[in-house]
Amino acid sequence: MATALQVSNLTKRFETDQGEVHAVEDVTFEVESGAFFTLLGPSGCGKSTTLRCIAGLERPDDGEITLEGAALVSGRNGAWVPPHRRPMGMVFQSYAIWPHMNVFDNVAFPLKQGPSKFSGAEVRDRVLRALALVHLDGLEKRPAPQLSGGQQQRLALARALVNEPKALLLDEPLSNLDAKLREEMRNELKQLTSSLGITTLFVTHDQLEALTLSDQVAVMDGGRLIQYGPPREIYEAPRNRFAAEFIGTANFFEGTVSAPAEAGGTAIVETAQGVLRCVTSEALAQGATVAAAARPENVELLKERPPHSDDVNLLEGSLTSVVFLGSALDCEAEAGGAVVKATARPSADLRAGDAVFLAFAASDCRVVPLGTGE
Amino acid sequence: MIGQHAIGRSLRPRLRTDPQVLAVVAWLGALLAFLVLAPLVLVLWFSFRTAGPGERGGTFTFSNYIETFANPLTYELLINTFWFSVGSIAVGLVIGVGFAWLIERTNTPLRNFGFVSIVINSAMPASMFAIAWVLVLNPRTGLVNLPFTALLDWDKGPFNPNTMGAMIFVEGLRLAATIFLMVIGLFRSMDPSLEEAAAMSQAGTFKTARHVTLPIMTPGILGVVVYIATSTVGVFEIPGVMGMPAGIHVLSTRIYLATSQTPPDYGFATSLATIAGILGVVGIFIYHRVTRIQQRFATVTGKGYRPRRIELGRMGRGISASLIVLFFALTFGLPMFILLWASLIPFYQAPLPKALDFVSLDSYRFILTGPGRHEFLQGLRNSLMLILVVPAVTMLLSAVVSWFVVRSRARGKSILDMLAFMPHTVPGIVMGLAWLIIGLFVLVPAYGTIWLIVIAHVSLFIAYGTRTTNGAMFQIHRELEEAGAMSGAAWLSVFRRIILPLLTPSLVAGWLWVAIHSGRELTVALLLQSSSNRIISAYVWQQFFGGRLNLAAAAGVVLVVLIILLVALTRIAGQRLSRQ
Repeated sequence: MATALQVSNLTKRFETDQGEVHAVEDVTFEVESGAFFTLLGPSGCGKSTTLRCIAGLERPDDGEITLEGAALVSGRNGAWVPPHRRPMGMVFQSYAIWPHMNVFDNVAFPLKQGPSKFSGAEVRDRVLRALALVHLDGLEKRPAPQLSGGQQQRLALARALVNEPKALLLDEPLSNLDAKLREEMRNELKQLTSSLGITTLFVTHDQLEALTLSDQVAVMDGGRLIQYGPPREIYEAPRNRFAAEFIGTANFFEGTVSAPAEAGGTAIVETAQGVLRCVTSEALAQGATVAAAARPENVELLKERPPHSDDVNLLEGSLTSVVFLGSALDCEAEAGGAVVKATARPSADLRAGDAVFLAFAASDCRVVPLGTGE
Repeated sequence: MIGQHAIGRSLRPRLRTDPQVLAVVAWLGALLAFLVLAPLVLVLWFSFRTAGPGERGGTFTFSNYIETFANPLTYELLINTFWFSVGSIAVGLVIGVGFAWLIERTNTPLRNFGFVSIVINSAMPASMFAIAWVLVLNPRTGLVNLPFTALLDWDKGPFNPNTMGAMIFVEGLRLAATIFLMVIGLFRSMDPSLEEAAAMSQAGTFKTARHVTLPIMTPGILGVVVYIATSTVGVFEIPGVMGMPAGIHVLSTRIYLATSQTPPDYGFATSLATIAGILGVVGIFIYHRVTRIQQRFATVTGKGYRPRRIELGRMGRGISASLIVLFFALTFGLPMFILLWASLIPFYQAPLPKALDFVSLDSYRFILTGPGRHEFLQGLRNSLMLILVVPAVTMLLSAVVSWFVVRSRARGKSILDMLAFMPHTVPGIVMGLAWLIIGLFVLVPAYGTIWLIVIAHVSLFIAYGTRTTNGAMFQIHRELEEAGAMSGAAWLSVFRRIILPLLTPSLVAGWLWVAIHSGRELTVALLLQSSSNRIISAYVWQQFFGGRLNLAAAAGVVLVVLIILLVALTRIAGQRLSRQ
């Protein structure tokens, strides 16, 4: 597929009272045409700043952004396209619905004030189509402040799409909604963007949102891009501890590699908790310091010792806490001096203090290189 | 991966600031510098020159200051200014803080009426207020002296308007309203649990007020005092009406006298003005220090509390209600009655039954339809022009300046903010003198036209305008603007379609404040007046000192009615707007 958006060597620093802060540091990625691309990371990781640089709301100090081959900003030749000349729509975290206008006027604004001029009938036609797209038809005369949170969200979406932009930018649009509504909107957003086939950039700190919505996820930390790829790849083969921890919780067992292992093969890692077999995505030398990572949902809690198997790692420990979550039990066990998280079925008969065996398949355990990333 | 390419650091600045934004900032800076800085620099400049404005030649000199400081009159002026300020602030503080406490924190009757009486006082120009009190305190015909002259048949009553004591009292009444409005905000932001804790310690109402409420408010009140003191240094109207005729001078009246005598003594005027200006700047500097300390005083937060009201007893309610009625009488009822009375009789005499025979509408007829109409209607036209143009220009300029100060990241925006605030630190009489010099010798074509007063007023009120719009701009979420840009709208249409509409409530409030203050302003208008650009407040002044009291009073009544109408209209418009 063709590349829609290219971001290369993007760098943005802010002057603050404590000196210069590197908000975004040398970030490079590309987004395929029609893809749903998510920037994921904790607050302050630079994901929103990256998005705002793409929107043109921030001026990067360095780097280049091109949209469908046209430079939007470039540190090389000083090219700069102001935000209002960029063919993009954006949904803001606060929705930024103009309170002094009604629903219709909010959506009509890009058509009336934007670069291309439309006739009155055409404006009306396009606004109504955009509102129908987000299921707000019939509300066009409603004053904007009288909309519910979910409706404001849809309105913001309609406003961002009405000009048929080449890219849709979403800055944590779901974070202000309550849990139930968030799930509903998430599904709707996915359907809408894929049916329109629009290139979408999505910023979130919620890994579940990232995993369920995206074609590609880029994990950011401290202004740097840690890893990007399809969500499954990041989930299954996190490049470093941060990526693994951030994209879903994981248990880490630090240790050393006891025998050389080839890429894609099984590595044997000696840890304080015991010898663990795990999958490695890169070749490992003997004695390399690594961590073995296992997701809580892959750790099985057993009261009886299971029959020995080379394919299953087994640790002995005792439960320290069991929290009922409705759909699951959130458990923590102490094993060989480490705290291990595990998820159990809600019906399991588990109590804090129980002695348990922790079993996880070698194929569910992955080697994560330690260190800062690369 | 995209190929790495080395990017030189030297290219960074190219991406930093939008040259268009920078250009607008530069233009705004130049405009503000002209409005604010140029007048002040001129005053300072001429205070160090041997030749006055308009004279050729001249060299650098300290002689203006040497003469000023060698003149015993200067010290008398400074001492008078000091006592006038301290005295009137003390009077204003007792009344203002007391009323704020009564109205905000107790269940006194007539709370709304008390509030209205504070606000309505601002509809009466200070010069009118002073004239009314001159009449009330007149030794022979004054209302308060009547018991002594009419009943006891004394030659003179004990009260006299042309004394420092009377000036302090009248200015104190004026300041009480301002102090009230500033202090009431402090009361509203105080955590009521602090008082409740005192009440739970078995401290009575007044013990709590004295030992808890007042000490907590002290830093805030101190801030208000310094702020008010800065303005009393340059107050002209009340000393001008009450003190000047009796030879009791303060800094502002002496500056006025020095410029209006023939030939004008610009050396003396500019050096006095510089002294007044320095006092103002020092005051504002202290104010900023005090308010910073106040912010560290964590007990008064920015939250809006609804404190529990203190229950007054039967007697307490009676006393507080009479105090509120008395206050209304002193600040509006009595002066307004006297002005009305004075406007209805041809030659002033005490409002006694025997004078009723002379009551007629002749004065109004004279100024509205009679031979005096040209002069009066011209003043009315000029005043209306000020009321229409000054607030519009001031608030629009303020909105633009605020956008750059609050929103943009352009360099130099703090200079813009400082420039816009500067007029506040400078007494009105100094600004008046500065614009007089500009009008006479720089912007000669503007001299004698209403436009010179318009420009001077914009420079005077831009400080207030930008304070209002800065605060409002902070309230508008940045993303509302960014959504406009992302919709493809250029800066100007974002400003016009999004920012201005969202600013409207504060723009209306600021517009009203500026309209009232511009319409009643006297000091600058008086210094800049000629026969063709006289406004009503200056007309009143001229008639009063020309001995045509009935005409002054009639014109004054028209002005007060005009201002009250203006307030009512804007209120209605504001409510319409906010309902939309």
